[in-house]
Amino acid sequence: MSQTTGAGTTGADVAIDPASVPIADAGSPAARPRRWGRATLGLVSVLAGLLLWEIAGARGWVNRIILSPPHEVALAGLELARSGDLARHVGISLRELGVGLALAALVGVPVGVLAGWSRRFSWILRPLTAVFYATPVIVFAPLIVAWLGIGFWDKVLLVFLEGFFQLFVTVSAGVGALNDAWLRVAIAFAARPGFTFRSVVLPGSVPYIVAGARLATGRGLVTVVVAELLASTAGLGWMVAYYGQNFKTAYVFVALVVTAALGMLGDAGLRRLERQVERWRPPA
Amino acid sequence: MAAAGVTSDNGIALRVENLSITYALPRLASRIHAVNSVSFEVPTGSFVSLVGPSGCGKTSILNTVAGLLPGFAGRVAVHGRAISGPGRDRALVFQQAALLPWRTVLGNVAYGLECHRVASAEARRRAQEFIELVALAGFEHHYPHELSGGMQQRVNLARALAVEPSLLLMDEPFAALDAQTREAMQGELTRIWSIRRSTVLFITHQIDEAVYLSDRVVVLSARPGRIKAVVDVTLPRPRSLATKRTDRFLEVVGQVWDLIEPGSGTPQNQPPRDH
Repeated sequence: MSQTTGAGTTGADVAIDPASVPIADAGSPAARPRRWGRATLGLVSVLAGLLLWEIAGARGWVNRIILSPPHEVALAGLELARSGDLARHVGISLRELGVGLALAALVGVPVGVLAGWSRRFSWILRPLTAVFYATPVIVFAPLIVAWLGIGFWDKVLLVFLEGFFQLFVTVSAGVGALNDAWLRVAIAFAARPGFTFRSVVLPGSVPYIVAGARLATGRGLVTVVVAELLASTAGLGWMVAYYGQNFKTAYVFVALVVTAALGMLGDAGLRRLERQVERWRPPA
Repeated sequence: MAAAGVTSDNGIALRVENLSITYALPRLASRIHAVNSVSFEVPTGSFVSLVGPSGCGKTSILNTVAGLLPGFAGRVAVHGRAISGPGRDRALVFQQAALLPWRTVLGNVAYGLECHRVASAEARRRAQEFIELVALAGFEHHYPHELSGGMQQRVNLARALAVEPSLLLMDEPFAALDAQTREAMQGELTRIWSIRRSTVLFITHQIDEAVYLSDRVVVLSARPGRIKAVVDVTLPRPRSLATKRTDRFLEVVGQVWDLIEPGSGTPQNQPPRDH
């Protein structure tokens, strides 16, 4: 690693000799100013978009029922927040998502690891999961509503199905592709299968579990909101449907903004976790 | 070679008798004879190398001795006991370091011990000694990707030494290293060997490496691998890298070359080094 310093080590962009920094990590001084530039430009672009949107509404270029200007959305958001409605609906959606994902992880991770580890087990499960994985889970919504009624558990079941298949497919593929060399080490040292599983298979599959969780969370949020749009009595999707039918466009936008924010937050959190568990991976 | 009929482990750590290894190629409905009736032995406390061209089956022999290759004909016995699968009496140093990337140096060196059911804390305590032996003190908490190739191979070696095997198997451990690091590691290995005096079976395709490290060099022919010659290396120990520059060393290397390709081992006409 440190013996090979590539050709052409001149110029300002190679001020840091890679050999002198054995622990490669983010946050090198050279990266700082560029990241600032990116954040600033991004902010400017968002603000410009909002301004244009505001002006379009104020000048009457677009119908307010079609597109509420940002200040109206903000006011609607404040009102919903003050009344406690927003918190209530967000809470319901998040609980449906959380319970569904937790159950999906509880079942999907062990089943995925087992299917990646045991070929026979995967032969049993593969055809079933292939069918379900290829089908958008949301099409089961009417059936599930018929079984469980409109409420909490129908959403939970839909999120569970979505999350389970995401986790199963990602984790079983990851475990199946585990580096053979690691397994050979355990075998050559005469490890028992149980220890091999604990010391190689489980830690080796952590990155896939986190990647699967990230997929499951993103798709799960979509599933909750769409399921609520279709049939519900509360939640973010219900807000979109209800206020949309009543032409209260600003309130619809509040629900959309909150949904987007939740999705981005969840993804950012899981991406951080992903980077942390991949810390020991070579930087590509 | 040795007197026939000796079945006890009298000073013999590894005895390989009439070993043949055949691979089935189902797609072509044919078979490859990788190794053909090979017999040799490794005396306890000695360093024996198997050398031969690529594809001569030397790695297959090593994997068989390690217990990783079940389908073979012949007899392989470690200290008089026929092997059946991997065992705690042997440890393998891999060609690619094969370290667990989520474990630190300390955790990787302790890993073999943990496979042998040594409790994690005790395994780490014992691993420390071997980290010092391979001169990696101070790097205990580094992850494999933070180490150079040579350092990774030191961890690979320490992991195998830490289980204190009665037979240490090394599969071309320096093949993937650059020439300089490789020389340094050869020097390190002789230093460590002179301290531990483990019994070693070492695989390489580099003749000078085999001569430098070994008490005995077993030369294999190209596929199917058979034994072409067994050369006892009588160069005095301890050896240092300076040994490689002595006339006596070059003479032995030349002898081995002559056995492989008659006429190629004359000192005036050194064959190109095989990388």
